[in-house]
Amino acid sequence: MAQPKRSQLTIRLVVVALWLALVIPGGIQLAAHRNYKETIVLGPGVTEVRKLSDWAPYIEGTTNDCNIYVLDSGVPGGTMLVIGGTHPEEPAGVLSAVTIVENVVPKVGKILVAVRANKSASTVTRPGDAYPQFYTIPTDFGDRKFRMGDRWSNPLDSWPDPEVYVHYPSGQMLAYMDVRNLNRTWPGRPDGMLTERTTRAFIDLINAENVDIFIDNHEAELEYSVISTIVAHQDAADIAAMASMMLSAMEFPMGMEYSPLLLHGLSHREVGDHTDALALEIEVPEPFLDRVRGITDEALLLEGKDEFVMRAGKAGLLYEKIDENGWHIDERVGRTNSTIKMIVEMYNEFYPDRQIQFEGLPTRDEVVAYGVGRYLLNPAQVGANRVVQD
Amino acid sequence: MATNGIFSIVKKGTALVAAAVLVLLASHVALAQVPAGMDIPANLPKLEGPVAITTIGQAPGLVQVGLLLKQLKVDVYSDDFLEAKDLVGKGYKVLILNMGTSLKGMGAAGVDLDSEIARCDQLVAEARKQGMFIIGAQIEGLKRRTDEYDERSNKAVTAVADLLLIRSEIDHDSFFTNVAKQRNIPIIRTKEALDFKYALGVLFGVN
Repeated sequence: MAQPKRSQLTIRLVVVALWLALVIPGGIQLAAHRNYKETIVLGPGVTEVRKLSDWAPYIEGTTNDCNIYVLDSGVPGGTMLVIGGTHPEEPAGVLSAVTIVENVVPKVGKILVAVRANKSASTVTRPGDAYPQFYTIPTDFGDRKFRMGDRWSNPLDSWPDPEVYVHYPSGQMLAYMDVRNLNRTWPGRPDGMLTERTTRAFIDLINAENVDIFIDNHEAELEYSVISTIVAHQDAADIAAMASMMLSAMEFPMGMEYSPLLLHGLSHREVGDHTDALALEIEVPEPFLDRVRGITDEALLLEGKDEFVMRAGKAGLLYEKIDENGWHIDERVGRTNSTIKMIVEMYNEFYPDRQIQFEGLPTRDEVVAYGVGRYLLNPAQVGANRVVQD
Repeated sequence: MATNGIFSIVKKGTALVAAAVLVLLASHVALAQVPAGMDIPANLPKLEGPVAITTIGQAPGLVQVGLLLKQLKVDVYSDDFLEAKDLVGKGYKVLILNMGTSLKGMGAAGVDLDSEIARCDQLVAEARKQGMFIIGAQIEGLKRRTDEYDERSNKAVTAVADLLLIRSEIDHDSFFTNVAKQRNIPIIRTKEALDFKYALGVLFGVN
């Protein structure tokens, strides 16, 4: 075998060096993102932090064995489960859940919160789409840093994808990658792929805790018709209808949509069909998700301003208004919180025997006036036993 | 006597002022009950239940209308897929057709707009047979006036309704006003969805 000439060897070494120069820094960034631990401060209402595997041992040891924050009033009443981070690229849903954990004090009944319902999906972004890896929320004590994520679980945790994803148990065929989409894998199965196991774990939690009302926080692109709305399982339609009318008259326009009867895998369909909980989903606008957007960076993610999305609006191509003020994260978190509060108020009207009452949730006007950072607690000002990582 | 006369005049004057104040207060209270931005035409019919309500396009606004009717204690039956045969023998006096479409809702419910409009036509034919009054309602505002599907639902319902009850914001191009004029039917416009309760209360005499 002929030895390569010295010049050829040099070229090969240079190519390898260049490749390593690209791969190593990139790999370090990806690893740093995947392993970054988010700080969550336990607010005055948190009575316990459990793991999802407490209800579903088959999820133990996986990335998706997320924290479940328990806010128990000790007064008998109903139980609510709120999940953020179904799609970690929709940060308002995550931050809304954080503001519940760090601010809400339950008075009647119990509140369960998952900030990172699909933790795996928060450990990967879309570099090809220029997604930022993190976002920071300014506070009086400095920035709080959160992982930006993707719509789908990390392939490092769930691989390989099937050629076609066949939803269990309906048999409906869906796009292959949606086997990693937490909002396409409900009600899940304990021996399925990671994301299917995760939704099954939540179903087991909902049944074991007799959850009365289940809320899944989301954001949506303005090009999509299901936006600024509450999507409700038919059993929760009355609550959504009243909440929609009340919010629209008193705070901001909020519509309602039926959970489609024949489209399977979505939380509002399957949680409603497979448990006794009333299932609802909240969608607020996020211009970052629009395909016509321009520069894709943390500023767009948090400020929601984009001239190309605005142009699409002027051309009548959007289902929600947008102007030069954009859709700031404060507006989106605030609307999500106000909607949760109104849903609970309406639930209490319809189900007075299983009341859920709480205080301290910052609503739209407060979050817009003071910024969401005002409602994030300073980990340095609480004891170490009141700080956890998620 | 002169003093008595003055007292008498003062008393009469006081009584007149008091009466005027009462009339003003009463009219103010009456006016205050009408939600801001609502037009209540003079030629409204007096309706009574029971009411059957459905959606032409699977938009969920019928849930909102149905809830407000229930709050007014009007007997109401809601069904997304109400068919002509469901109107037979039930004694319904009023049929409410809710306008607007849900693309996600229709496809996932296994229907399309053609089948929804065909169902609408059959419902109207049966309602006419039974002498029912038909209300075309649009409670969800601009959210259900976004595309050609919404327009087809609006056109199908406004063409057959005996009265239109809509949100003002969707009449920005006067489409609904013009249809009401052309067909000589009353139209009630409200600013908010919640204001439908007042309008329905007027129609059913339960305010």
